[in-house]
Amino acid sequence: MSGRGTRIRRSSRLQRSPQPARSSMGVSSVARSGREGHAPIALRLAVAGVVGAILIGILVLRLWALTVIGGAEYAERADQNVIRKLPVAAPRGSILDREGRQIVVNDRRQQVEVDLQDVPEERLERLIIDLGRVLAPNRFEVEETTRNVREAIENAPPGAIEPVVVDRDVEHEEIVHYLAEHNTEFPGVDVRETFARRYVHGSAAAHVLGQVGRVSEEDLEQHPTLQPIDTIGRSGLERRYDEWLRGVNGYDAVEVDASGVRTDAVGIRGLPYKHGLNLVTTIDLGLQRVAEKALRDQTIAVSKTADGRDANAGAVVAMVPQTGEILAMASYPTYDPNVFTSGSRKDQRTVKRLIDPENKLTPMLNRAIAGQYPPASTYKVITGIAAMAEGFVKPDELLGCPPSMEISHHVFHNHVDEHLGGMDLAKALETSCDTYYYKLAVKFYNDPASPLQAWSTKFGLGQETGLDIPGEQKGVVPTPAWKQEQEHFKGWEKTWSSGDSVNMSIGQGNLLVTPLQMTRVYAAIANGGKLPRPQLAKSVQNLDGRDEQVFPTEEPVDLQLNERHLQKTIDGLVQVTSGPDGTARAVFDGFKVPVAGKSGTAEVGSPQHPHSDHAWFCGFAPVDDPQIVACAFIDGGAHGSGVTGPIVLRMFQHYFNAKGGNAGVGRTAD
Amino acid sequence: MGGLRRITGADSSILLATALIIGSSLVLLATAIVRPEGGVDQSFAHRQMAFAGIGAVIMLVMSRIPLEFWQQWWRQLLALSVGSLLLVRVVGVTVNGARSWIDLGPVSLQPSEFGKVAVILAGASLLTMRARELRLLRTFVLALALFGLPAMIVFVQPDFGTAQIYFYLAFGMLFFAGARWVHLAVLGGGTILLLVMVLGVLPAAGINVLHEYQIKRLTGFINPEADAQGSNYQTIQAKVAIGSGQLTGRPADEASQVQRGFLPEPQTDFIFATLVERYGFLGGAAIIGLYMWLISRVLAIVGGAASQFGRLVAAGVATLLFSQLVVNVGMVIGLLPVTGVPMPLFSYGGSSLWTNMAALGLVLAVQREIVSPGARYTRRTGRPVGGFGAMRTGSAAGGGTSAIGSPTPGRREVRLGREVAGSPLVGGAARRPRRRRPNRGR
Repeated sequence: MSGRGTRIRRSSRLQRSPQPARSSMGVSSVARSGREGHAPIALRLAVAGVVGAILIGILVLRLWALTVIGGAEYAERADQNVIRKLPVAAPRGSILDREGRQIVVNDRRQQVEVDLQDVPEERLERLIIDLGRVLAPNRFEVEETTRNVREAIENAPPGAIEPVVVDRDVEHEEIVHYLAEHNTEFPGVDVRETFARRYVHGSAAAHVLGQVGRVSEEDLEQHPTLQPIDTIGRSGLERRYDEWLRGVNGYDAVEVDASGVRTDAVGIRGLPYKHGLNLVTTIDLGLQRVAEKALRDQTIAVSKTADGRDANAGAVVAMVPQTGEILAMASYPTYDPNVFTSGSRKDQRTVKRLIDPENKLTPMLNRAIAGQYPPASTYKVITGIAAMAEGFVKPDELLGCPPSMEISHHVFHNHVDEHLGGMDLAKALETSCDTYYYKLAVKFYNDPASPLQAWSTKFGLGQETGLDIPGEQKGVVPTPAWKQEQEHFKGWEKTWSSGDSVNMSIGQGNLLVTPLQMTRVYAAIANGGKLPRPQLAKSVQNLDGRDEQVFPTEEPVDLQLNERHLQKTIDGLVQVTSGPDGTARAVFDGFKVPVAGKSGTAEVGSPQHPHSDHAWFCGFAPVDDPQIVACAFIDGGAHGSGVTGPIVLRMFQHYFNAKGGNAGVGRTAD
Repeated sequence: MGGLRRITGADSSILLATALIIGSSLVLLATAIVRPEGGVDQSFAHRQMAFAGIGAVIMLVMSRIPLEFWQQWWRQLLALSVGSLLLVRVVGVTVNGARSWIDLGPVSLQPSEFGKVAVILAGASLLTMRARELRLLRTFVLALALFGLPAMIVFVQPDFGTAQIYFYLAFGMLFFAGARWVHLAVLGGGTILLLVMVLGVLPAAGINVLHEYQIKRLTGFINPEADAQGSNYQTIQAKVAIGSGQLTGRPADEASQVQRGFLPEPQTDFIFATLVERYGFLGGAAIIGLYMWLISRVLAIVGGAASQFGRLVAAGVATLLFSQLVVNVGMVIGLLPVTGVPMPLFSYGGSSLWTNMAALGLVLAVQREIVSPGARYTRRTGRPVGGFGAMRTGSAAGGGTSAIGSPTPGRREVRLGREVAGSPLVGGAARRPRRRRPNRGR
């Protein structure tokens, strides 16, 4: 009660308090209220004005901040709203042979992508069904296509910015047109041009070229410049020269509206990609194809002969002896890399078989650089040169060639049963007399410095050649120390015996080489004792054909060979192809270009399976001015020159465009 | 302008500013709005032009109705307004989640819009009647209740945006009526405290007065990037549209936020963003300038009103225009939550346009009182039949003769008489009705 009373009193006091109100009594109410209210209303108007001005001031300042201060950024965001930057993977450079002939090029393809950012969630299911219907090649495959589309979309990493590829290769142009015409029904869907590797000559140089693949998570971490859409070289030249072959990605700028629908508008800005550089290789495409065909023909022919030889693999290398440039490099069995970029189900099955670790044939293996085999008699050039250099034998010194020799209570045989008489080093090469080399082997065995091993290493065995593609194997040059370390040898096996020296002297035993290493050895002999480093790349060129970078070959390493020793060796190699007892005479007889070479048969087969021996032939031509050196090898192709000699012959026939010789499958002594 | 004034007897600045704002809106609607499938969509401009024509008639009529009419019929007006708001609860159509529309075939009406004018008139009447008791808390609360009733109905529609305008009207009119500072401060402070509690403190304590999505909407503007694709999509797209306008705006074909449909509601609630994207800071500031001109003219009439009722009506209209402007523009530029308040006179839509034009018509009526104080009414009242003046005098006469046993018409008549006829009642005399209040309360 008292509270109310107080309030009333106060209120009445206040009513009375304004002095002007009292004095203006009797004035008409309209006028009075106007005047009486003048002071308070003016105050309140002033307060309202100030408050209003502050509020409006805040609005205008904020407007200024958004438009003038932050405007450029917001304008960019507005453009980003409208423009989807879809990365375009730059096409990789082509790979060309030494004459500029194409080996690997790119195919343009139309790829269908879905940018999930632009597909409202409730719209996705319908989109999947629509895409399945449209992309299916025929109405019988609608279900499977729908399943594939759904899989691709559902497997997309959550939150990914990259569009999901739902069809890598749209073959029918009508599908592209349909999608373009019905763009409003396909929000977030783009048909974009991509590039896929095409191998012009199928399997030609497949192992040298190597594979490309989609980048992996690890790749992205290692190379910050890579994008998820990129492909990267996985093996061979594609991998080694990836940074040149790979271009710079661009992007397509696609205009969209708020519902993700692609709107066709002129003047779309984008960034064109930068094409990768073309890689010019040292490969001679013609020679390469001849080499591959000869290797394949010989391998198949050998395995078809009645004597049950189970030849199934092989390798060929040809190089320029002075520079180490690889003219041809083939490995068998081989494959057509096109299956990797094709989407067809048949090709997918082929791929599965190719990469199957159970596949004993390992068609993906480049046997020319990664296959390790005993070099057999082709190694005798090193034994001879080493023995001459160490003074164990003089070039013209005659040593007997008995059918067998007993060394430390073991009998070692020559490959012929009769005594061939005394012979010098050249004749020993011509006839491939094993016992001649056994005599040298005893001397090597008695020298504690292991000079034969040192000479093998000098010729580049037991180490990578430095070829510019990954995957090389080192081979093995066995030494007493090496033998000691081998865990699979037990007890006495660990000790270097005279038999080990004997075996090594004729390229057998634990000695292992790759066909490339052996080619290099013969290149050194052809090149006056200078050992070249093999190389596959010549240069990278831009699209105009101008060199962007040249990869010069390395200066060969001079092995400081005695000229007489070398000449004696070459004389022997010439006699192999032309001498009366030459092991490869049957093959090269009548061939116009003088060839120096050596055959070899590595005895890996047991007496029960004699036909699993390896066959070798290494040679160069012309003898006076060597332009090409080549080695051919067939796993299980015994015997040497008759099987692999024709491969080298056919390559030389092609290379020198010369006829003559006998390229048929044969069987000669090694 | 002189001619215009002669025809309408009105402040030509108010008419001119109103016409410029509506005209700008029509130009913008005619050029900036596109169809979803492309191409300029002028249908909004055409319809808004028709709405503006009807609105002009409404404005003219409102300016011609003598203010006494509203003072006499405000209770019925308020009842009608509250009734139609309740009707919406029953037969209303839901648009954008709020059940606030009545479908009348060709047009849909929003009773909550017209309710704004009704509460201005009712509030002005009440506050004029109780002018002497205004400083009492009781009167203050009573006036609040008058605004609060329709506001609550609107609030549960739910239309928080319109409800808050009712609140600003209450605050603004109490302020201009001369309510005590302390009451106003408590009201303002209490409201802010309530908002903080409901939006921040209580949810943190686990008590949810509002749904989570509602809180998200009301607080999302503080950090819009938090849910850019969800509840804050509108805020962000509006900001991008505004910002990309920069100083002078973007050409039509580059105003992509509107052209490509990224900006929601480009012709209604977010029309200010449409404006700034197209015409930049300068365009936005120019339109705000027009509002400032218009509102300052209305405030001038508040200052110079010939009657307390007229003053409060003008003050209500000024508050209406200003609060809608600030709430809408503040929302569009990301300073205030998205509450669905249209930009007065500028946003597309008949109900809002008519409401604001009717309100401005009221201001013109207030202004006529100043231009021709008394004269025109005496001239009108000279006629025995017809005209609102006659109604007033009739009512006054009725109060004197036939108010038998019925205090209500008598009180009304007395109050009107005090105000209009100018019989001063001051000092102790003013307290008499107050003493009778307890009886009236029962």
